[in-house]
Amino acid sequence: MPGSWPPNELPHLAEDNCEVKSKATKRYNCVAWAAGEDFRWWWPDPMGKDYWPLGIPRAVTVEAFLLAYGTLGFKLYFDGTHQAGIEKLALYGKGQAGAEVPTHAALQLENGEWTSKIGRFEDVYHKTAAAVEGPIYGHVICHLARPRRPAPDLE
Amino acid sequence: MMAQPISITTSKIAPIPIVQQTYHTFCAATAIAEVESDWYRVWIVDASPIPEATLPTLPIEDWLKFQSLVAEWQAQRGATSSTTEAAICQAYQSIIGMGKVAVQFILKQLESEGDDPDQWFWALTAITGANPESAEDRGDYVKMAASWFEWAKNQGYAW
Repeated sequence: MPGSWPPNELPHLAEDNCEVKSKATKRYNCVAWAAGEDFRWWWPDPMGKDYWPLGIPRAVTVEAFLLAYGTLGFKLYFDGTHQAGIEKLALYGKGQAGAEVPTHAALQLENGEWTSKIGRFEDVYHKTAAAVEGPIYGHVICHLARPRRPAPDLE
Repeated sequence: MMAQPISITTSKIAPIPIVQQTYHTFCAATAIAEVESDWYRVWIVDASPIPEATLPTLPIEDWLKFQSLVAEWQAQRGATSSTTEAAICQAYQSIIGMGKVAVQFILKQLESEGDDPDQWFWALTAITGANPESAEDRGDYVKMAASWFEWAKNQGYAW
């Protein structure tokens, strides 16, 4: 197993498709990481403890997540294929089709691979967006995209 | 030859044999004076007993229950990124259900987590009704923890 997360929750992550890039930390989560942050936890919790962009509904819905990433210039996009000059983000969810509950976000790297922060564990590079699908995060429910900017240092 | 620590002497208690490196380190760090020869080193420390009134009295059963629930919570929440899911775990809710006795335990746990604090803020607010974090610190658990420690001290909590 490449990282310290429960392996049964991410059964597709393996040594040959995943590279651990940080130590485990609770400072930030996948939603923050995909937004380019590594110092705070993003989540629309109803108690208001976590960061969520101002003015965006604090609801765990696909719409709220699209609006939240929209504050960073991301828009709903067709797919997660690798396209030069476009930065893509995959949003994961669980539940009934059309009413999925967001669970995870991953950001596409310039080389077409992906980076995810695994809950309170490590952040990783993974070869495909599907590699983090499974019982804990469900599956990719939509993609977002924005023009690729000069790369922030995600390492 | 490197001097070896063999005893600690204070004006208030009898010499204590020193055999552990941790104690060596502690003494070196806290000594108010030091005497050494080729064969021994003696640290003079202030060993005044800590007044009992400054020590919190921990209810043992509650403390053990809390420790058990913390371990259960870590297992139950797994790799979720959702604060909501983490907070509705049965073990986390049971910690909230312990009520005010859990506050000092949570504070101690939070303190022990240092610069990587966990998601104890839902529980603290649920139990105490307080919200000492500022809006701009939302999600920044290090700053939020600092706000809670300050609040707790002002409220007279000991941990």
